[in-house]
Amino acid sequence: MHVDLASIAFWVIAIVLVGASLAVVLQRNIVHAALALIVVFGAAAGIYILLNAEFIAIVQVLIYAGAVTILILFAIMLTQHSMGRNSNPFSTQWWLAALICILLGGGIIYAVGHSVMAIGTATSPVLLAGEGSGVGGTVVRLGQLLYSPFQYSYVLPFEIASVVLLVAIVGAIMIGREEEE
Amino acid sequence: MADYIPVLILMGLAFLFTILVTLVTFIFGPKKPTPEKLAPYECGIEEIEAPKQRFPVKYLVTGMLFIIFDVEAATIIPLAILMHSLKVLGLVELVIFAVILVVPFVYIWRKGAFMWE
Amino acid sequence: MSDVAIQLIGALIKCVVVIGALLTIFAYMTLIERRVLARFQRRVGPNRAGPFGLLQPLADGMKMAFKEQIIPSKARRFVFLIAPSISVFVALSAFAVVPLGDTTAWGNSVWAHALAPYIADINVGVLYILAISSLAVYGIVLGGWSSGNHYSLLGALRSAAQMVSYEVSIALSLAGVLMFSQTLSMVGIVHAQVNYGIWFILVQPLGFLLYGIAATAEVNRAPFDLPEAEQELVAGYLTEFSGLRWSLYQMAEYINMITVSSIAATLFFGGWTLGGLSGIPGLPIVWYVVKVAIFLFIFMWLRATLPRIRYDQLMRFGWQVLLPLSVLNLLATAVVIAFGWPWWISGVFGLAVLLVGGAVYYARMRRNHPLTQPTQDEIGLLLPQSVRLVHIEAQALATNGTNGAISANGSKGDKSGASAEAVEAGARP
Repeated sequence: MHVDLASIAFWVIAIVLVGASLAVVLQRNIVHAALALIVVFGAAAGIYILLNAEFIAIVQVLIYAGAVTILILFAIMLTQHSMGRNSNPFSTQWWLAALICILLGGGIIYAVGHSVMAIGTATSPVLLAGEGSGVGGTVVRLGQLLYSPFQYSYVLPFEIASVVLLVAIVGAIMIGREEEE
Repeated sequence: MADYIPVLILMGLAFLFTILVTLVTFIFGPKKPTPEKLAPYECGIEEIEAPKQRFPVKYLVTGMLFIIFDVEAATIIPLAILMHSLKVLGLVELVIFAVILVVPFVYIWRKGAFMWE
Repeated sequence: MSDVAIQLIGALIKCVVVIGALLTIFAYMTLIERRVLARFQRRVGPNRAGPFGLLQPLADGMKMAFKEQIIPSKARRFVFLIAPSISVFVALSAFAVVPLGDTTAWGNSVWAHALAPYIADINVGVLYILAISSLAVYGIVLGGWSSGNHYSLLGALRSAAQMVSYEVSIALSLAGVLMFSQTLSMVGIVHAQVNYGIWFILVQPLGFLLYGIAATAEVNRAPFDLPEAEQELVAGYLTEFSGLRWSLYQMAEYINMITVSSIAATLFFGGWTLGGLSGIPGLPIVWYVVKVAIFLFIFMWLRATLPRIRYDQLMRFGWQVLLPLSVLNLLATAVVIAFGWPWWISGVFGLAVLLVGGAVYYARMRRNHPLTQPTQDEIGLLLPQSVRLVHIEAQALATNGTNGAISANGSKGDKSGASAEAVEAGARP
């Protein structure tokens, strides 16, 4: 029963996800496309929850659906023709893009179906060790992986992430500086 | 994962509710549109110029800064709930992380990123 | 019945009850707010529909349902249609993880688990609320942008930058509490406070104040209600909306107020606990409701008291005051936790920062706006600037004997006038 529910949920979310992704690409109005993008991020968060990756799911909503998409909306609304009926025009090479997408999709499906690695990582003992441990759950586990300096030493990437953010802040302020000149 | 099914039910009901309200209001409300009624409400003055519907660049900058600090908050929160077990090591990690971010914060402050006229 | 079916039925019942309760509370909060604001302004408020005006929300709702839905010719139809729905959907969804009571006394039966007084207890509860409420900005931005109206667009612009700016401060100001609770689950945070034997407001006074300010801005309430500043923007993003879809926006605002009040009550004031009194069945939810009601009253009080702040002040305050202070609070709490110091050091630090901050603010305000007192020559020419000055003026006139009408009630005026002047003299630098 439990497994059935999970797989039903997966297929529902998957259909929503693919449908919304197609809407992002195919919608002729770019604001509608941005709205569909929010649905895509939300559905992706649903997939993460099915995988027991709660923290990633929440961050997906917080950062991508909440922050990145609002920035995309700002950028759309900055430009002149965002109100037009055909603000998200098709490239003339859409058939080439479609072909590449189909090939890539086929490749990924084949790889997931046949690769030992793809199945192997999902059940790696490191990630599953924290599951069902009760208090805190996966967030605590994730935090231990990230921040315990002696066990897994992902501390350096964490500190480097702040340098990346530093660069991003300076970049943001440089982009927005044009008014002064 | 089972914890999230009630959340999904709540979201579904909320969705149904908003659809219902929208339908109800369109069913019960009168429909007598006139050109004046459908014009933008500008306090009785005829519209001189349509809104540009473009956001100033300033908002884009604020949006970008928001993403950056949101990412910062999202990385700090797992560290926060582990602070009890990490003790001083956690504090050192947090301080290094914060100091690296304080530098550009001071920089953009001096650049006037937060000044709105 | 299988366990799963019981769980599903329980969840369904709880969801319906929660949505129904939120909508009812919303309806009556509009009435209560109007009555409370009226008392603040020495009016009576709506009291005609039913006893004490209790049927007023019903009447308003009926009226709203029968209003015409205007879709302006310049509006972007699809976005315009769904924007209010987004707001309400987000507001209702965010409430899912708020704990209304306790289950420890309920035993371990399946029904007890299915009917626990919260919709879901998820490991990332606090982040869930933050993430879902970060989507609230879309309802307002899209609604204002799609209306094809100058005022709506300005309201949308303002709300976008405002909500985005204060959201970071919310997350960072809550991190101090999370350090003590060691969990993100809302239920877990309440239990952590029970284990500590204290409410986290004692540990995090600064965090609470920062959260309160940022949350007020996040739900667009006075004095941060710039998106709908009626004196400047007609009604901001609400201008082109009518009927029930207008009230959907109001509904979202009030439900968001309830949600942020619930977070404050849960994280800082122990949620449904109140000393030893939360063991009695039925009482926990009462304590929860009382705490939330106090916060909701404070929202109304703020609206009645404070003037709206200017937009540049709003943005600078969010980035230059709230954000650095919440990082400071975070670091100080981290120091206390890391060195294993007792909890009250964190509380004392928070209070000290509040005192210093208050003193700095007061000094700066006095420097920019020094206390002015009319000179002896000007008295009698100046119109009274405030109630306090009326006393001074009355007393001055009474001593000069230039106006018999005012000196007629001189005996009373003399006394209060003298005390008011003493206060003035004491406050002068």
